[in-house]
Amino acid sequence: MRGWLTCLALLAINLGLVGCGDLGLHRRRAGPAGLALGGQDREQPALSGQGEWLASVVERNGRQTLMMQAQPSGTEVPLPSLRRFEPHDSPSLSWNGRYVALVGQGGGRRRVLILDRASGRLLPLPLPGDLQPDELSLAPDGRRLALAGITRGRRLVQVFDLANLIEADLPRGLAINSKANPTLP
Amino acid sequence: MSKLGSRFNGLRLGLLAGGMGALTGLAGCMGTMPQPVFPLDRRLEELGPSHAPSLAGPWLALISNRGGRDQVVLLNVDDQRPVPLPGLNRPDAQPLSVGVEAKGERLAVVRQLEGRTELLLYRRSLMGSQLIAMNPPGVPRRVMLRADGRELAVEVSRDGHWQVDLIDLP
Repeated sequence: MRGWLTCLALLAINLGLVGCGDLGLHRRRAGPAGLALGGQDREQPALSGQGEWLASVVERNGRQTLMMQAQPSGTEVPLPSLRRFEPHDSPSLSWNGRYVALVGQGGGRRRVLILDRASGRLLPLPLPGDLQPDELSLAPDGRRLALAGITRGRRLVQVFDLANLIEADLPRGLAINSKANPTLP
Repeated sequence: MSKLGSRFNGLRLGLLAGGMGALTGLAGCMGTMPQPVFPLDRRLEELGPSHAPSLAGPWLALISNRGGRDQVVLLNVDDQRPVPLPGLNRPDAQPLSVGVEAKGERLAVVRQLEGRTELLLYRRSLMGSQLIAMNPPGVPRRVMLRADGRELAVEVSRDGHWQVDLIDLP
């Protein structure tokens, strides 16, 4: 009996949900819609862990620039220390938006940068070997970074430990136990 | 002789200390090198060509090419084990982008299937996917699932421009 019910449930999921595109989900265009970005491209969105911040890449003065906005107001927060590393690519944010990781350009090559918005410190990450980064994902707590890029002629994903480089950015309301090994609320 | 030996040892120690000091100074200029997570890096090399990483909690989702075919892979970073995703990877589909939430239950995927590009939300516990239509109509390219699983940010081509849609999830 239980087996039949499971089968029916799975069938309902596969027939009902897959067939039905719009489920009445609440949607909105990332603000500010209209004035500031009317007719402009906006790409590579990244939300902080609980959605208070949105990073995306827009074109300004002919260069790809990271735009950081509070949500849902759309209020933009300038990040002047990143300007000299344009064009920007592949932004990624930590839980509370404290850390902004991205791929930028500096010294004639693609670089991985981590901006700590709490201290204003910009950390250019030295990368091993001949790794040319093009995409990244920062773990929400900031303890690890996944990089995709070309290394030794192959396109690979690598994961780096940042625990000794930056302190954690944990979600609000999270109890930290003595082993500093938090779990999600 | 012993005096000469001790002078020589002193010189060696001095050179060693100087060398280490120089190295430390150089490392300071270059910044601290992040360390690859071992032995995960070996597992990732075994996966073959891969891209589109998404990290959240202990989970790493990515798109890996196996046997000439791209597919979504979910790994637990702590034990380096791939997690089965029954029903998600179809031989006739080409995944373009993937995002995972910190609990690892849901994955958002943009894929090409039968000539169209679609966004779907996969639930591991149900082994099933739910299509999410673009409204107003548009073609999705990249998707990012918020770490707490409550919202999607989608890069969409619409009216000749790239836009970002934010979609709340129940």
